[in-house]
Amino acid sequence: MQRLSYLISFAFLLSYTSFAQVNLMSVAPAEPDNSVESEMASFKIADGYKIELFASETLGIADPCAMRWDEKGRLWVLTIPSYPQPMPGSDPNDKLVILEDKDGDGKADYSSVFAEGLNIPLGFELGHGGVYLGEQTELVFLKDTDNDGKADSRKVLLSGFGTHDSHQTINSFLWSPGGELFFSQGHSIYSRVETAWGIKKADRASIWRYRPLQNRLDGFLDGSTASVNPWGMNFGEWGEMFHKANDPELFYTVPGMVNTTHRALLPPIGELVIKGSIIEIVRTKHLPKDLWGDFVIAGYYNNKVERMRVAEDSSGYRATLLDPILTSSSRSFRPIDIKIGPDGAMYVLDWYNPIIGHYQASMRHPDRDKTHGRIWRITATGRPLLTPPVLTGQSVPTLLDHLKSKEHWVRYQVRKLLAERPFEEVSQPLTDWVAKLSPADADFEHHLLEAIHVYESHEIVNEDLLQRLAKGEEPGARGYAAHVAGRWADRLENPLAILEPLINDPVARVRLEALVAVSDVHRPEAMAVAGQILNLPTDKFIRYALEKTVYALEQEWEPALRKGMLAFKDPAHLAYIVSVIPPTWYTADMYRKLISDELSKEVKRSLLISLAKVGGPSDIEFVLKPANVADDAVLLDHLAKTEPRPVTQVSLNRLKSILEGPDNKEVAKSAVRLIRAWKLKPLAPAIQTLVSNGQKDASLRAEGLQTLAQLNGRGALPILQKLVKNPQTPRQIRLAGLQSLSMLDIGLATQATLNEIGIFGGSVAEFKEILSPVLERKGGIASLTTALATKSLSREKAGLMLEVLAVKGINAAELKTLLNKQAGVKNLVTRNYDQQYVDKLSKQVKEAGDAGKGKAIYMANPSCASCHTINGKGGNIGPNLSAIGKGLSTREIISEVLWPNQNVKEGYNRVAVETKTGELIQGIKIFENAEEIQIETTESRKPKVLSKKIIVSKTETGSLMPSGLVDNYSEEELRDLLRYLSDLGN
Amino acid sequence: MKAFKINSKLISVLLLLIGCKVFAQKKTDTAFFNKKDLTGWSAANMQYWAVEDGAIVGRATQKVEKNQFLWSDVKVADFYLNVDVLLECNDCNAGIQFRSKKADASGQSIGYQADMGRDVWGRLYHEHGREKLDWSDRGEKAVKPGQWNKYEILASGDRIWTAINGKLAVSVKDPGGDPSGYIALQIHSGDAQTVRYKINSLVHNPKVELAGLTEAQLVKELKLPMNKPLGKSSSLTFKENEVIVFAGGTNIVNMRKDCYLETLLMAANPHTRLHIWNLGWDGDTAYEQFRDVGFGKWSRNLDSLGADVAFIQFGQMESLWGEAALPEFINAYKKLLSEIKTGKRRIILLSPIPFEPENLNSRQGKLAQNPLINAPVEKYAAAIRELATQEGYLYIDLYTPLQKSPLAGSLTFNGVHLSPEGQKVTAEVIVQELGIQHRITEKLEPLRKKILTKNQLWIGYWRPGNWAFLGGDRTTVPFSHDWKNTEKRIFPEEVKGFQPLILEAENHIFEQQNLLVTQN
Repeated sequence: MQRLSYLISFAFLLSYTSFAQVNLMSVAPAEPDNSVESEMASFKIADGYKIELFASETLGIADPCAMRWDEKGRLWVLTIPSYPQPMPGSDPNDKLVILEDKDGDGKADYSSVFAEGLNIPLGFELGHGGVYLGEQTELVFLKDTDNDGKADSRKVLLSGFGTHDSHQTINSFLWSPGGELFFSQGHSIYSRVETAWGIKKADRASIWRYRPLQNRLDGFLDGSTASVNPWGMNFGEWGEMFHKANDPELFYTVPGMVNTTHRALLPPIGELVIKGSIIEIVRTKHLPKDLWGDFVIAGYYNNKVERMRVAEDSSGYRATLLDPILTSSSRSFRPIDIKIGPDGAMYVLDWYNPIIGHYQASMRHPDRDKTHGRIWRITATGRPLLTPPVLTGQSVPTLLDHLKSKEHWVRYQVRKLLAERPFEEVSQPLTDWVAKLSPADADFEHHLLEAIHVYESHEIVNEDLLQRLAKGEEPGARGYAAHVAGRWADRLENPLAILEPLINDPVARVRLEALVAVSDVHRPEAMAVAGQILNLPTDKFIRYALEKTVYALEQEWEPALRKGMLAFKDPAHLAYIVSVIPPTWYTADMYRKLISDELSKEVKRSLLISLAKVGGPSDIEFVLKPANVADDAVLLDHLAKTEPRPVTQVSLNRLKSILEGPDNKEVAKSAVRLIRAWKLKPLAPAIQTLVSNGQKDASLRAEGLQTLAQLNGRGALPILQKLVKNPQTPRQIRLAGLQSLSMLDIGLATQATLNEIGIFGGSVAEFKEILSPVLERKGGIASLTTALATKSLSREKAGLMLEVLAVKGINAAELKTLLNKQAGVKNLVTRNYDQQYVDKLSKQVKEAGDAGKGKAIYMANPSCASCHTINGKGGNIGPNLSAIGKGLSTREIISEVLWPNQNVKEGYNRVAVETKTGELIQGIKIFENAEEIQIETTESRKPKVLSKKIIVSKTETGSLMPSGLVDNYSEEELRDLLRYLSDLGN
Repeated sequence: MKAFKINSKLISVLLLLIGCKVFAQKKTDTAFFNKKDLTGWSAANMQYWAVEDGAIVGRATQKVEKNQFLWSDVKVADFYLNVDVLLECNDCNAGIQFRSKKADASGQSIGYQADMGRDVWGRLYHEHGREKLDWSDRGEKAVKPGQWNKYEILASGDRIWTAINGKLAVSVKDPGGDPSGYIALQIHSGDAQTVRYKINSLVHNPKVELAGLTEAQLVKELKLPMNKPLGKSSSLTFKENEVIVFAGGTNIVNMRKDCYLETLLMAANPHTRLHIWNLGWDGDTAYEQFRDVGFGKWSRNLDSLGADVAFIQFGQMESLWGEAALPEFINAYKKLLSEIKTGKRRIILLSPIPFEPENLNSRQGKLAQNPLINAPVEKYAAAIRELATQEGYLYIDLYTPLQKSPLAGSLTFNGVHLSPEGQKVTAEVIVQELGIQHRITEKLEPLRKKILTKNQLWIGYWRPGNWAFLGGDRTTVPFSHDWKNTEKRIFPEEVKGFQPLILEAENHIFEQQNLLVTQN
């Protein structure tokens, strides 16, 4: 027994960092009627379509989470009743079920179990005569070796995928056209997979690519850099890859398919209003033409089947949201997979559950539905359904001919079948098939594309075919050829010879594919070829991929460059590369040689910064030349962020002349900041002159004042106080003065601040500006509290100050109490968490809440919209509330509003840091690694990037949303506000 | 019977540890060889052995596949042996094992060998182990090929000397070497041959003198062996209720699915109620052992379980970084181990297993280059061996035995990770190194099944899904709480439900162990 107690302490005593125990919110009760008929009645389908039931729980598919078609037209469904967590000692019994419509009436009538006893697998795909299944830490291959319809062989292919959150383990499996298995993982998953190519790591959300014949795994876009929870990919007709976030965003994946650990946020190409997963691309004659090529998305959050239209946008795409195909008023309708079937109908997998949140409800909440699960079939009225061709047991030539089908379903199945035949069987017929293709055929190049997919899926190189596609008329053919050249780079004699013309292709999308492919060619010259993409205009997708490519090929180009063995066609290419990763051995002379006026401003700037970092006094003089700095304030700001560099009199004079010149005031402001950062004391008199010069721009003088305080320290107090106290001083300068005072003397700053609000400031925004310097300084809140204990503000001003605290997300209880008193708030209610109160309030909200009045209350409260967005308006730092009523029950919303610390949404935890200089910064953590932390604050959408070196303390607790925000609302006001929120999205 | 054997072994090791030889007296062993027959001697295959003219004759009339050994029942620690030997064909090879033990049922030998034959005369070899220890040619110079030669062996503590025809041959100080064991005579594999051993005397606890040299003179001649001893794995014994942990990457993780090593350890220690916990984690390396927030780091896991014995395996994945990274690897490994090193804890380093490049892709995928081919696993294994020696850890070489295994090439399912069959072979290699005679047989199947059940429960308890909510960064959200009584966290309570199940599963294991003993 004693031993076991060790065991216990180990798992439990160490670890739990629970604070503020805790609410438990339940969710709304399940639908009163869970029948198929009732759900059917909840649907509103777009004109021209019909929806019918294909299968329900009666066929053993309760808790379905993924489905895939096989070539026989059978629908395989994965069910996970063990989700979200198996009970101790009970063997999980999740199943892979096969549904069949034997009588062809459009309804499944037969089901059989292929595999059981599974442990919360979240996804699968069929192929190679078996099933690839993602189950917890493992990717396994299940096979029925004795043809009895049941899996009898289980082989682990890969293991080490994370399981820290059972709704984010590896999921949404899909074959690429070239026979690679793609899948993804979510935000709380950390994977370490041992492969022959080393340990493949992915922290947080990531996309995986598995090449089964090589047993090779590669991860992309980890660190949640292209969606927090990717779920669902698809490929366009020319192999263009897209993926869907579970959140609103849709992504064009290709720029992110550069194999490097360097992380950067991939820009999305469009978004839904609220969450939705899965992409099915409509490519069937059965559905109306208007729908062809559109993306259909499973809107599990707002009970919709969504539709997006995707159009070309430079080297990438842009997506717009169209009207949904299907809407349901049932909160239990949860579409989570969509597949076009063999008949051309659209099949929608319905998780059927009032609770979709993993974390938002108790793991054992009784409303987590364990007994239902449905598949709906959407058809176009008046359009004939299709009869799929017989694919089972067909000869290779017959199968090859089906690759000409217009039906994507057919081609997807045929590719899979051809991939699992031995190549010896496929080889000759494939050669013959390609030889017989007619160049006159409008789809000739697409047929070649299908042919190369077969080679790819067998890992067989066919350079001749590749060359033909590379010289194709269709941009899609050339783009895909580039992709394949990258995939086969290790086996082609000279992949760069194929890729070089493509990276200079007239079509931007081809250039992007070529660039991504080049990143897979691990030769030094590849970097020189990649650089050529700069010959033609770039865009956000190309720039994204190029930056990553510089990292992906660093091991190759960097040593070669050092040895002088890497030549670039244009020095601008080298300049770009060096601007992304400055080599450690690069000297000032090397930078000086690269820098020219031909370069883009960004590249030139980056090189000047690198030069400043390594250069001597004369190089700093060079960097500060008027030609370089005259119109580049950003350059000066970057220099201000580097360590101080040696500055000569010439350099000082250059900076001084910027201050004195009449030119660009932004440049002058940046120069002032640089002088501050580098502590250029000899320029203090010049700064003082600037500050005192009433002719100069106020914002420039304000900047100067702060520099003066930095350079002269307390010596600057007299001029600071003089300026701050003088009501004639421009406001900006007074505010800068408060900022500087707060750094030098918090007591004086507090007095000056109170003086300022005594005279000025009539709005929350103005008050925020006045108060921020003291509030964001160590000891500031305490100093204000002390001062206000003896000095009373007017009611109105105390009220404004309270608003400022709310908007800034500051919890300062003592100060708030003081201010509430001074503001004369009498009916202040501090509502402590109480389940009965929640029940009561919830009832009132539903019965008597007035959403219209609630909206007015919301709009009148600046603290809400400073952080939250509703229908495109408002701040970004808190969760989007556009459809909060769809996602959360009234009871949950009550808890969120009244006790925000109890249940913080994923990714919205408050972080507060204190810097070495006593600055306090709080907000939402966007990113953190060993070197830096990025915090998004209520002040700005752009995250603050803080070096870990300047941080003295960091706390991460609770929510940024302060509690007590609604304490001064009456029960009626609260009721109406909550009603407004509950109705959002409904 | 088995249980008794193990106990007696335990006792003898224990006695050695407390240094009973202090009280030893010089004694000539008259029972060693009676000069008439092979009483007190045994071999797996007696057909090779006979007594002729008062000498033991080893004779092979045709090609010998494997080395043959004739084992004496007499155990030696400090001793002096005087033998006249005649190796009829000097190109053949023979030798005298001492302080040795049997490696397997075929009577193969592990331990010191006073070597005989062209180019090896008078050299000290360590059979099935460290190989060359003293490779000077002094004995070679003194020998008379094809004639009778006098071979003397003197072992005292960690000092070993031999002499041929009165000339000093071997002189080695071998701290940490085999302290005791048996004497065996060898016929080397190869062509037909005859070797004659005329035993003159065996003296226990002899006076230290040889080849006309005094103890002081002999000591002056001592030098350290070419290959230092590895950890003495054979000295690993387990006490009641001790906790054993396994740690490493996927190959360790997979041990919990087949349970072969656990089964063998449990079968060999039926009365000690061992608790074995598998802490393997996919992707763990000496460089990084990733654990989610709140899980506790690797070393802490071992500590909080109270691990008395730790089997640890790293180096295979790391070897893919290449030879240049080897020093970095060793530093990282050393540092990691230093975190778990305590006075009491026994640490056994398992060498990495060899890669099987041919198994990388089961479906014949074409590769430009197979990354497994050039990975220097062997060098990593050797460096780990060195690390073990320096730091006083036990080391078990899996690389060499698996490389030489008849099943080599089919021990992994993907070139990297052991198949169930590979796990079995590996487990047997490990226990063999530990001096455990058990092998996986049908008889152990019920025990293995019980262990499997325990391990399934263990992993549900130790590494459950949804850790983020159980103990990670998401413990405050509703998931882990009761849906009605919102203050109450139900997930930790629920997971505690594994504890009685694990205890029960362990009890079933102990019952099976007992059954194995009583059935014998």
